[in-house]
Amino acid sequence: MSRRWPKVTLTGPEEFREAAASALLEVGALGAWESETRTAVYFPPEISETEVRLLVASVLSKIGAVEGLSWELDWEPEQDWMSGWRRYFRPIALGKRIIVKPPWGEIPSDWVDRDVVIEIEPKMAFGTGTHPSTQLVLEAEEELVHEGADVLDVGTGSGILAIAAVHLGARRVLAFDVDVTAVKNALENLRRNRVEERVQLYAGELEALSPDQRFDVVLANIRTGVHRGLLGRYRDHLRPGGRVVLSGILREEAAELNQLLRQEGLTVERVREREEWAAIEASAQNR
Amino acid sequence: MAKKVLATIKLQIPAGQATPAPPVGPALGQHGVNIMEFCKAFNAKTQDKAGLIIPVVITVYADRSFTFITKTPPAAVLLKKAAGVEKGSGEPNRIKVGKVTRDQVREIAETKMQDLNANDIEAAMRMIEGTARSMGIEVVE
Repeated sequence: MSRRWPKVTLTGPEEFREAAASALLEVGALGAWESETRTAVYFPPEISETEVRLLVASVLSKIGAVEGLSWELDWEPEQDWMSGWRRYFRPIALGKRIIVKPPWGEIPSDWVDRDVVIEIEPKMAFGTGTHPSTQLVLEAEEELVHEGADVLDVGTGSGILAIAAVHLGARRVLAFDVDVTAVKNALENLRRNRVEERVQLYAGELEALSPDQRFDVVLANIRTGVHRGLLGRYRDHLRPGGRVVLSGILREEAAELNQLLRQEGLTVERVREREEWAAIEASAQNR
Repeated sequence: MAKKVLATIKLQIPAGQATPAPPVGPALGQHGVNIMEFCKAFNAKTQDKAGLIIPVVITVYADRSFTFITKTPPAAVLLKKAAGVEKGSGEPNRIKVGKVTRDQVREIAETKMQDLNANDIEAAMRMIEGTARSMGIEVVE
């Protein structure tokens, strides 16, 4: 028989649940999972039902919560927790040429013509490929990143957009993120996709970049609030005719950003939308 | 990082000892979070707090990437550890179960500072001393 974990679910006022969980953790519970109205406390599979019932009863009486809390005991059956989460990720086709895939999962045979294959192992950094804000930028890249282009990736996260740029023929890609964990994850993904020599990666801010650096395409999948303070910098890092793609924007925020972009002398070329998200493509004309 | 939150998960697990077993597996697995990655990151961050139960809040974003913050253990747990006692007193006014020094209180206040609603270390120490009194632990010089 596979193992099963005794699980005591406590219901009642939060302060009682908290006290009971702390006390149970001191007498051998493995851990607790708190939600709005319940706290689940787990015990090792070796502990007998009688022992668990005795422990709970004695702890509740010790902290004076026999009246205040109700509890029930059931069992959590063993599952493949180590890899079960993987079923949430499978290969995704985007645009005409792009596939984003986790290290597992078969690519459907009718996708053979797709030549831009990006492999991302989902970890802490944003950019696993399943979010509309990422997908909108990847589709924009397919149209904008031509052979030999120089690309800047602002807030690279998992590195997914930078990897796509190299696969689409970019000559030089510069990618960065303020989050050191994300930069480490991006480096792993660059190596996984064998593009680490084509991407310069750093941990830091856009302000750290020398103002005379110019790019054909600037990609920024961040938040609207952060975009607002960076529009002038996007413009200054664009070559004449270059394009910036802003993503991570809710549809209802797009109109305001479009106006701010125009005030910075940029021309809004196109707004791509998916679900509640929008990505704005703008160009620098007379520079 | 276009971050939209899919779920917030609150757990209490022993420092440095997260594994894919319950509660981590069932709690994170249903949201498609890379469980080994969480365990590795949590254990690395809490390895110097061995023996303590750490409250942790995990935020899962819409693309199932995630981040987490660890909180400090409850003041009562830190006080019991400092005083070397198993549990607090049932009648704290009458029966004292142990002692901590002012220096130990200061140390706990410094650890807890990030989670306490205190303006300065003195205020945080007063809060810790209050908890100590309510458990029958005396504060001595």
